[in-house]
Amino acid sequence: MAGIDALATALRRGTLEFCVLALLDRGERYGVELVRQLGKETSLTTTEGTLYPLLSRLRRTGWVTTTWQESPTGPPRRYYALTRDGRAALAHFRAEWAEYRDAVDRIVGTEPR
Amino acid sequence: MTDSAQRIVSDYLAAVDRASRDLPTERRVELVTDLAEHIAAARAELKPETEDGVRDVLGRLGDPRAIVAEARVQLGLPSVPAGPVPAGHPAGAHATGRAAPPRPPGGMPHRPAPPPEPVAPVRASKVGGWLIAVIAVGFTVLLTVCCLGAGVYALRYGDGGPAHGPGEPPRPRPTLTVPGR
Repeated sequence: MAGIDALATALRRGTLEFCVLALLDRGERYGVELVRQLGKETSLTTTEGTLYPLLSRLRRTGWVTTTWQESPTGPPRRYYALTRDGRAALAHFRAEWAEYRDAVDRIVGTEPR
Repeated sequence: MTDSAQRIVSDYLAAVDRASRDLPTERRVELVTDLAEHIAAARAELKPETEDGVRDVLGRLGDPRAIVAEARVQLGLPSVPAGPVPAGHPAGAHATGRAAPPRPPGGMPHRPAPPPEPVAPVRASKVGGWLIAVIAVGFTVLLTVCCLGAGVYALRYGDGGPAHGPGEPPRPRPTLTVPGR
């Protein structure tokens, strides 16, 4: 099963970050909300905690930015939002992905009929 | 907030900090701080907060070693030198706080404190209070582990410790490399 795990990991690399950007494209989200939403897609993530190193890199890359906002229920929350660069990166990915996916589908024989 | 729940959280964050001792200090503090913030926010949503609820929050976050392994990947660092982390570690196996390594008999070598983490601007004093609390927890954990780590360092490298290969120099501190995009 190691090969299967490795495949899932390899497919996540390079795509998961754009799923994060796409979720944020719909509106800002605080950390718990964001990682739980991604966590629902079990094929996309392993555990919620592994998303924080990714979010850290996206912050440093300048694709997301964070702001603190009061919470009605507890401590203030750090909200993640897409930057202009992040939005451009997402647009670029969407175009590349469609082309890439179509090519793989044609060769592997998984194109929708 | 019960004492036992608090202890479970502290043990978890300490385990993250221990596992991340090879990361650059700034990244290490950031990781512990991010997870501490997540835990604080998730606990606030437990109504009422129970020990099981807190364990569930930590279980969903996952194994500290798996989180640190992912941090190494994101930083472009080689995989962890000792104790490889199995890929795709299942959720639910959160740390139970392993025994701390023994301290050296001759006291601990001095190690400078990490530089303060730049703090995001905050909008309200309440925000500042929580942030300071979270960062204080992170630093407490970090300083504790730094001391323990320094002890281990002394044990391993002092007097040509047997745990180390012959003639092998101490590892240089890994430099921060972010995969270019």
